[in-house]
Amino acid sequence: MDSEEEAFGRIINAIPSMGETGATIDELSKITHLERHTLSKYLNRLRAEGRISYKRIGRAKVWFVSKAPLQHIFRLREEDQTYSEKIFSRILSDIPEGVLVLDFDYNIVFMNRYLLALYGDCAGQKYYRAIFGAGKGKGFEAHQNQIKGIIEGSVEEAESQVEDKEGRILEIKARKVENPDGSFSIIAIIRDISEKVGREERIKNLSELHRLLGEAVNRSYTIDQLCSTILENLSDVIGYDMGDILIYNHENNLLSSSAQVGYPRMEDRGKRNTVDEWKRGIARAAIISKEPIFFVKGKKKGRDELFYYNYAFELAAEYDLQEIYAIPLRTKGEPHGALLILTKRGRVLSEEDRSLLRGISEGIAGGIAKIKVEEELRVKANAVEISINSVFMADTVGKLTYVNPAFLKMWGYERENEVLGRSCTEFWRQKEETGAEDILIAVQKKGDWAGELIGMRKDSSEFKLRLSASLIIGKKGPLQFVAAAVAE
Amino acid sequence: MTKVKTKTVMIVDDEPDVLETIAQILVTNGYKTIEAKDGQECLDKLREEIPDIILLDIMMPGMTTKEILKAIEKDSRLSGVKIIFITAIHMPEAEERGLLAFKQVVDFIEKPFTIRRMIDAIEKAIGCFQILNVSRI
Repeated sequence: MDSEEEAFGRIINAIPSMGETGATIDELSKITHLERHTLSKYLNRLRAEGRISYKRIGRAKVWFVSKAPLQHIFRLREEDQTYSEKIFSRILSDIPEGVLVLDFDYNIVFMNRYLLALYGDCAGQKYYRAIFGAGKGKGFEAHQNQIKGIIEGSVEEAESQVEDKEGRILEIKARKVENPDGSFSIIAIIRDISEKVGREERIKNLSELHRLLGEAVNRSYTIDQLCSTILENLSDVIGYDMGDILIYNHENNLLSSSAQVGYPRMEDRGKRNTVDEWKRGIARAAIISKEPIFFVKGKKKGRDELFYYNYAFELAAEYDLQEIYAIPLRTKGEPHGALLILTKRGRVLSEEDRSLLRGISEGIAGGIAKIKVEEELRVKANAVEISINSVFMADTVGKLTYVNPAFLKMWGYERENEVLGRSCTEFWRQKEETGAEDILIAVQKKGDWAGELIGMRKDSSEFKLRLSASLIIGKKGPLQFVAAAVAE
Repeated sequence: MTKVKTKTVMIVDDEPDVLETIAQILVTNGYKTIEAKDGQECLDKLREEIPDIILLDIMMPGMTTKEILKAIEKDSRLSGVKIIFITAIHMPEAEERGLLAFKQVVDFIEKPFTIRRMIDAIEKAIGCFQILNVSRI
């Protein structure tokens, strides 16, 4: 037995000799012949090992030998433990969550293997300093108040999320427990939920980006407008220096910049064209490979990177870039362009940022495809609007839902609201007196109809016309009729 | 006078209104029709009768379109049947799913569509069928 263990033995034997009321440090000093300072040190060590505990009476501490406090089991050498203690301590040691026992002076009395792996052995140290350092992390104050509340008896248990000294997010459930000797401890179950919180944060960001994207798609009239809004929205969530969205044109197989953000003004037109060519080269490589391209300055190029590497290298040199991330914008079927995200030296895109960009890319492509279709439809609608032939649409019972200006002119009306909602059979009659509604029945039955009719204008005058009508089938069945008419 | 055989069109769609409307229109236009509300019913009916054309919806509950197409492709009795997709999904998506790679698929009609477009597609497919028959002779 070394001298320290001998001193420990003397202290352990001395405490019960004072009777059931415990022993003060002065009393122990007299019995053990240890100086107050040394004794205090040994008492704290023994308390950290769970072998003794104290109660505070006024300003004095009265020491007791721990009768069977929970933490004592863990400090016993395995060969000294009973079978039940061995099983119990192994379960608590190996539990995949942190178990921490704290006395009411905020001293860590016990921590299991989970916490040892995170913080090393902190038994005997002050809880806040050991786990939270300077205590500036998120949620620290609230957690501190909760623990204080447990010690003061205002609450029995508390739960909090708090950032530790390493930036981890801990979920801590703490509860007051009474030890068999009448002293109190706090048992805390601690889980490192940084990954979960990070994942939730990413999902939240992704959901927010999708929400903003939806809004942008609804509010944008052109692809350029949509792309500018997308780049702005992305910069709110991801830190980057420069960004571009390049749109792929299927007709001529070319890529063109639709929006860009963060670039310094470049007066030299020739240089600007060269830079645009580099960006197109990188975007094309991403679109062809159908996978994002991640260029990091200084990283050795791989065999597959040759195609775009020179463009990326030149672009990085031009703008002092650290990273270039090019993501193809594809819906399930087709490419719509590419998103380029660039960071300057000193800034990097985290895996979370890149994951977020990949996650939103299909949504962006879908938005671009939607606006593209809407643009095409607007062009076609314009063609119908300026057509010299009458075009109209009616619902399945023949009520007019759309007429173009040529229709109004041909039938002598000025405004759409004079005709919309009226039955199309009011605007013509058949040459033979068979009833104009027969055409609707014919379209219902045969799907389409073409022939000559007598048109009836607003002023009751009549004119000959040729009409071609067809039924439109939608996702769930017949939608409406579309018809074109020309005066003979 | 040569008697022209009435062409048979099978319509496969899970929407009863689409099925009924198209069938009625095709009958009025001189076609014989077979109706099926899903892939399984389509294959069951194909065991009994072989149509000239199948109008096939892509998005239906039950069997996937790929499974239906593979079953048709495997059955040598059905090698002359032409398939026209009528669907609410866009052509690039169908291409991505590998549905346009099947040789018997001759056209793709996106909903909403006009009946004129559908009749033209059927007539074109039948013409294609006849040309193939002639060239074999």
